[in-house]
Order: sequence, then C-alpha cells, then structure tokens
Amino acid sequence: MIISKKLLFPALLLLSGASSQNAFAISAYNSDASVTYSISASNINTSGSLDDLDIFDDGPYFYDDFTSSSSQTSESVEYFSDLNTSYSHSFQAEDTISDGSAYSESWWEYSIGFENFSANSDDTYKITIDYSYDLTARAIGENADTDAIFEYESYNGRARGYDYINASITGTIENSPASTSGSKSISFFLEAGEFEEIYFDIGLTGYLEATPEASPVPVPAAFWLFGSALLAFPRFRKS
Amino acid sequence: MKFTKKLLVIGSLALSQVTFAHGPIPVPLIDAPIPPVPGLTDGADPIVVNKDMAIALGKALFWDTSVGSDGMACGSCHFHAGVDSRTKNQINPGILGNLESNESFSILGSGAGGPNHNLSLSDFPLTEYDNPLDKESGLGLTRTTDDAIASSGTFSGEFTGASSFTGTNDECVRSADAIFNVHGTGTRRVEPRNAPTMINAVFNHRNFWDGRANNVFNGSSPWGDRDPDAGVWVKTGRRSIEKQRLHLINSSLASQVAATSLSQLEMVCSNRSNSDLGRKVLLRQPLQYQNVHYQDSVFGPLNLTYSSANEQKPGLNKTYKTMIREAFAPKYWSYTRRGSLFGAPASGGRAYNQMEANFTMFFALAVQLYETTLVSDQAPIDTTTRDPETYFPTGLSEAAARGIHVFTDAHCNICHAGPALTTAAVTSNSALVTETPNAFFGPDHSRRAFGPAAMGRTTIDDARDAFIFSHPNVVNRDKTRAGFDTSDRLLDFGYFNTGVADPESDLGLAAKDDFNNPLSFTDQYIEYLQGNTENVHDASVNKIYSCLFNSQLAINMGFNITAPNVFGILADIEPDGNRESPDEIAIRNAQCFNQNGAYIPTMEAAKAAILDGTADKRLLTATRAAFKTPTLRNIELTGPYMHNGSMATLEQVLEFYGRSGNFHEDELHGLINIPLLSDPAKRADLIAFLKTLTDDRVRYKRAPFDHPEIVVPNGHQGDDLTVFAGSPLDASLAKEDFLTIPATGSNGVESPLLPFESFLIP
Repeated sequence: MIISKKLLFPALLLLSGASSQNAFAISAYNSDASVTYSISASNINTSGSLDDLDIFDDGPYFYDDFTSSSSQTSESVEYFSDLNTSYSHSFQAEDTISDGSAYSESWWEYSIGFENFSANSDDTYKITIDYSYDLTARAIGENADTDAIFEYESYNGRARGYDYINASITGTIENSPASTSGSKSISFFLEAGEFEEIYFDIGLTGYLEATPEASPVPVPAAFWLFGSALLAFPRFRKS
Repeated sequence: MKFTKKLLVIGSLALSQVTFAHGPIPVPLIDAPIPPVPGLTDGADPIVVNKDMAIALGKALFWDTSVGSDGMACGSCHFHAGVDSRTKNQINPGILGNLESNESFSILGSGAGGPNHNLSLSDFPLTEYDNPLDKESGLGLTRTTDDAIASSGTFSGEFTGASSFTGTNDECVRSADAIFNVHGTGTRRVEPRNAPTMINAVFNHRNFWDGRANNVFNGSSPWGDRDPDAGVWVKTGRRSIEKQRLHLINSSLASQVAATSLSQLEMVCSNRSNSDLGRKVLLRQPLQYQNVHYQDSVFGPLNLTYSSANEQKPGLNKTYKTMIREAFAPKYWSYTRRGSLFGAPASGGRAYNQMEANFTMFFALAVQLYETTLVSDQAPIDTTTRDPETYFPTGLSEAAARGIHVFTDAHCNICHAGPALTTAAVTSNSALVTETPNAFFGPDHSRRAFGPAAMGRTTIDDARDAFIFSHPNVVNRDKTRAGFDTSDRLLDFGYFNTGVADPESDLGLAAKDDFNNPLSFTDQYIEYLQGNTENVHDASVNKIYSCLFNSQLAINMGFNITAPNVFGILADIEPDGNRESPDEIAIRNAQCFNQNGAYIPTMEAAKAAILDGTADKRLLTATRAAFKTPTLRNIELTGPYMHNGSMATLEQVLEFYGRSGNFHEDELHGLINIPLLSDPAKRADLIAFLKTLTDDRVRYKRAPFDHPEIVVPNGHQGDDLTVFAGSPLDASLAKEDFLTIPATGSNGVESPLLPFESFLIP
C-alpha cells in the first residue's frame, strides 16, 4: 500500500497532465527538504577525553493538518551514531486535486542533544555541527502554492535560523519549481554539567484549488520532466 | 477686575480675527516635513525591511478590486485626484445623524433623488438659500437635507467564504438592503460622508472627517491606544509567539485602513475579518484581473509587471504572500504553526496562521507607505518664485496674486495653514516652524529655512496667528460665534464646525468610538483637567500647553480675577505641567509668549465647573459637528466639497462662506464670518488662487499618481425609479453599470482630469 501511494502521484500527474489538455485541470504540489549534518567534538582539556559527552537525537516527530485524502508524506532518517560522520534526513509531501480546494501542512521536528557529564570542571567540550539543507518546492496545474521551510534553534537560543522556498502557480504567475539551499556551522562550548540541544523543523505546506471545468491548463515542460523523474525517485518512508 | 478681563478678551478677539489680514501665507509643499514613524522602516529592528516592496504591496492592495467583497477597492472611491467623481448612486440618507429622516432620502433640487439617482448640477448645493450670499434676505432657506453625496460602496451581505486564488467576489448571503433599494431591488450601499482625497493625507495628524483614524496605529484596529485588545503577533522563538502592543505614531493612514477594510458600507460583507481577507488574497496574484501599465512608477522599477510597451497585461508576478515576506520582518509572518490563539473565521474553517492573523498590519502599513508617496508638491504655488524676506509668492498671475490676498483677508489661511493648507497637519506644521539645523523646504530657487518664519513673516511670525507653534498642541481654546460669554471654547485643533449642515445630521467629532470614549481630544482634555486620567486614552492629550491657546483658559494676574469665561481666582488655578513635574512646568513655560496664561484650573475647580453644567461657561467645547479641515491642494479637482459633498463647485463653496455658513450654532467657528466674499470679483480672484494649488501630475495622472486599471461600479442600469433585478451576485440585487478607468504609467495620460461639476447632468 505504501509503495502504491508513492507511485500514485507521478502516475496521476502524468494522467492528469494529459487529461488537462482535454477537459479538466488539476492542481498539485510536491515539495521536499533534506538536511545533512555531521558533528565534531573536542575536549579543550588536552588531557581529558570525550567519554563523558553524550549525544542523542530525538525524533523526528511528525505533525500534519490536511483536508485532502490524497495528501501524503514520506521521510527518510539516518540516526546519529558517530562523530565526523554525515547523516541525512529527507522529507517529502505532495497532494493533487482535480476539483475544489485542499490544504495540507506537514511538519517534522527533530533534535540533537549534547550533555557534558564529566565531573572534571576542566573538561569543556567544543562541539561543532556542520549542516546543509536543500529545499525544493513544486507547484503544478491551475492554482497551487507550496512552501518548503527549514528552521533551527538551540535550546538556549544562542543559535537560530530560518529559511524557506515558495513555489506558486496562479493567474499568470508560474514560479515553479523553486529551490534553495544553505549551510552553516554551529559551534559552542559545553562545560562540565552543561546541556545543549539543537532543534530542527522542516515544514512542507501546500494549498490547492482546482476548477473541474476550467479551461485547459497548459502543462509546462518542466512538469513532464518532473513527473517522469518521480517514477525513478527512490522511495523512503518512516516505518 | 471683571472689566479688565472683558477688555482682554475683546482685544484678543479683535487682534486675531477682525482687523487685518494676517497669519500664514500659502507655502510650498516641497520638502515639507512628513511626520516621522519611528520603528517602521528605521531603527535596529524595523517592521518593514524592504520599503520599496512595501510600497508596491500597498499600491497593489489599494487598487485591487479583490480586496472588497464585491469588487470594491480602496481606489474605487479615490480614483480621480484622490476622490470620487462618480455621479450615480452616490447618495446616503444621513444615517449617521439623529434626525427622523436619517433613513429616508430627500428630493433634491432636480426633483428626484435617492438610490441610483444620477446627480444634476441643479441638485447642488444641497442646502440652498434664496440669496446665496445672505441667509436672511428673500425667502431665506429654500431647501436642505441630511442626505450626503458620497461614494457607492458594497452590497454587503453575510460572509461565508472566498476562494484563496480566484474570483473577485466573496461568497456572501446577499439580499436587498432595507435602505438602499429601488422598489425592493437592492442597490449598492453608499457611504455616509464624502470620500476625501488620500493625496497629501499623510500630513494629517488624524484621518477621516471625524478624526477617528487614530494617530497611533496599534497594528489591528483604528483606535490606537484606546483599544485594550489590540496588538500584533510577534514570533519570539521557534515555538514561541506572543501578542505585543504596537504603538506607531503618525500612522493614522494605517489606522484608517484598519477601519475602511471592515466597513460594510464601503467594502465588505459582515463577519469578514481582515484575517479572512488575508486568507482570500495572500496566495493570489495581485491585481489579477486588472491591467498594469508597463511604466507603472512603482511596479515597473521593481520588475513586477508582465506588461510591455506593446501589450498591457493584468497582474503582478509575485503573490501577496511573497511580497509580504520580502517587505516585512520575518518575526511577523514566519511562525510555522497555525492555531486557535490566532482565532478562526466566524464562518468556520481552519484556524488562522500568523501571516493571516497579522494581515491588518501588513495591509495598513503597506497602504500607508504607498500613500506617503502621494505628495502633490509641484503645483504653481510650490514652484513659483517668492520674496526672500516675506516668502510671499511673486510669480503667479495677477488674479491669483490678488486671490492670495483675498485668502488671507478672509482669514481662510488661519484654518487652511501650512504647506498642506490645513491645521489638521498638526505635527508637520509644528516641525516646519521649529528651527532645525540645515533643514529647508521649497523650490531650489526659493529655499526657506525651517523656523518661526517658515510660513511668512510680516509684523510677527505668521504661523503664530494660526496657533501653529513648535509644540504640536492638539487642542486649542478658540472663538466661536456663540454669545459673548460663551464663545470661548475648547476644540480639537484643525477640526471646526463650519455650519455646513444641521449638526444633528452628523455629529462629526462629537461622536464616540467603539469603546464609548469620545473621539475628540477636547473631551479627553476636559477629563484631564478634572484629574480623570483613566479617561485619557490618547497620549497627546497629556501634552496640551494651555499658554498656546488663542483664548486663555486660566490666567494668573497676581490677583484674583472673576470672569465668566476664564479661571482667574488664584486658588482655582495651578501652573500648567504642575501635575506632571516641576521640569514639565519649565518645559511648557519655555514655549509660552504669555506666561500669565500658562495655567490650568485645579482638578477641584474643573470638576466644579463641570458640575455647574451650563451655568459655568469656562469649559465649554466646540466639538459638535466639527470636522477635519481638509487640504485645499488640488481642490479644483476634488469636488464635491465638504464632509457631506453638498457643494459641487468652488463658487458654491465661496458663496457658503460669504453667507457665513448654512447653520449658525454655538459651536460655529468664529472665523465663519466672511462678508468680503460677497464681492464676485474677490471670489473670482480667490478661485484663481485656488487653482494654483493643482499639481499637473495629479491632473494628468503622472507619477506618483499613476495607477493600475480599475473597474468601478457606476450605478445601476435604469434610474432612481426603475432598476433591473438580476445582478450576478444575487437575483435580488440590481444589475450594474461599470466605469473602466485604464491603467496609467509614470508619464500619465493626455486628457486632463476635469472638475466634478463637469460630470453632472447640466
């Protein structure tokens, strides 16, 4: 069933795209976000170690708010296990309608925590998180607006960031697909007994309206490429 | 002692109002001070981070007919030199008044009237005297009405929803209005007051005819600090958001938007909040169904249009959501959760998100920034050469030059003072007469320094004669035309009863706000004097300097004075500022040229005077039927005139003043006594001068006065006796006619705008 849902979207788009040449329009979005990070750490106490550094990840927790039964999401998460290793989290949301209106808002939240359990006050850990993110938003058809949002914040508020990308197709606006990316290195010191946590939010939203008997909607070439690409897109979903 | 005081009052009256032409001369608007709005686009944490995009957003929202529930934009009533030149279905029966006729329409001069009436020249003036220059001669008053000539607005109805992408109209449950109909077929409602121009409105301390658009914008309503629940949602962290109060001074244009956008006479169906409006338009293409000129002065430089020299196309190329994101700081829109704390539509549906919840602020501030660009400072009065000493214009026609003298001889200049030609421009006028290093205004060939002589200098600094000082006093104590002992009255500076209509047809400034507080600063000042500080909601009321009043409220002559119209018993008075601090006394005294008058009654004396009711004449007010003094700029093109649109031509206006107003109430301002306007030659000269106030960029819709295409409802098919049911909006509503006003670019149009009278049936 899961795999059939995934295959449904490109198949439907291809079908709808073809059909829209004749009688009706569809509206759809398909947006995704991925975050890759690695963590490095050192003890400024050259005689100390990293034995008392605890790193743990939590989540992702998923929240959604949608009205359309065709709205669907997927995610792929690599959980942290070692320093200086790259891990990726990927998220995707999509929806397609051919009549009426629908909205869907999907959110994932996960965090990486750090705690210095050392009893030696000389043990201060320097932690660095290098991360990068890619956001892509795709709006297709008659009336669609979609955002892909990335946000992070440290527990104590020392580090905070926000970015988004929007794709929209309505009226004569055709701003799709759209993508953005970014990277950052967050460094902080963790003294003995201290705690820090970095929270990451991913949001994928889509708002759609479609008119059953609207004039045929031209299908851009990028749409067809997108649809065909999806057929070969590797599937991932949280078990 | 009593005799002494009487002489003082008489002397003051004579000096200020009767004997000679005096006071400010008309001065240029070029580089006149626009009241600053700290924190809006400046400072460490500005609300607007991209001013150009905010202006574009404001211009789009102002002209977008999707903003209203049934095709009304802000621009629908402000498309002709900032006003409305439509002549059909433009009558309101006087619903703001207390008269029995406030829901019934009058027969006007043409013999007809009411909904869908097409106005004729013979309908004007609405109040007519047999001899237009003398109320008492001949048959006297021959007709009057509480009807107002205003602007056709919305059908309204009850909001049930709207598409977030397409269609101009909301879904509303609509039916024929009980008042606005022709034999039961619904017509569009009409506003109760004439739409004033938004051009140069940025100079007004408050806006709307009754000043209810508060100087302070609170982010969510028109009421400034009066609204205890106002505020905007501010993201303070990834998962934290709080509603914070907003206090943006000099932002009455934004307050005005917060009111108009909810008006069920002007724009919308009931139960539609501005958050619902946000949900309707945020994802849309701005001006989706309206052509935009490729040389639009705002959209063009930002590459926001699809149009070219060869083809005009509708819409902008960014959604409203994108424009808001680019224009405003992220903390006002980037909270990533929606929720019940933001509220939800009254008609049902999902809770609002932060951007929707804050839509009033985005809409209002963007339109304010757009309207701030609409300064018409290239009229002949602005560009003419001037005498370097007196600053009197020297390059106008002979008739116009004579007309300026008529203007000052008739004391028009006392109320129509300063660059914007209104004392309602309180802050700007005060800034202009404040000595400021390296601050100048006027054309390059005739720059003038800010300072006391900015508005001219003859025997004294002329601005003083109009009670314009460095300190922006929002209340004056001035002379009215009541009886001798009752003519000294407190009034809101820049808001006067000029006797246009029966006061009971529209109380104007004497009305209340949504919280039952008086609109006027004056009534709050009475509360201040009594020590009822909890009833003072506008901060400027706490900064009224009594020594700057025209008629002194309290006077310290070193001995007791007993007079009917002044507090003069030493035990009954205290220094102005005494309630605040010794420093405040010194600050206020430093502004005074009459130290004896730097006093106010004690709380006990003020309370006693109020308790004494009408027997005590010392705290009388003149707020009833007082209205904002309008700018005279572009007046040639901005008819019909007065708050009720009751006069169609400038000649009718001058005749009105020549007969000292239509209605003589105790609140009638003392200067509404202008017999010299009985002279037709002087009236002709005065009109010649008034026409020097027209900026040709306004006349020809050149930048910044260009605009997108707009289709405006223009009455209904048929007339005031017959309309045709079957509007696409609802079968019970009348079919409409529309007026299409083409898009213009920065170079404007070839055909000039014409005065209002040219659109009337001859």
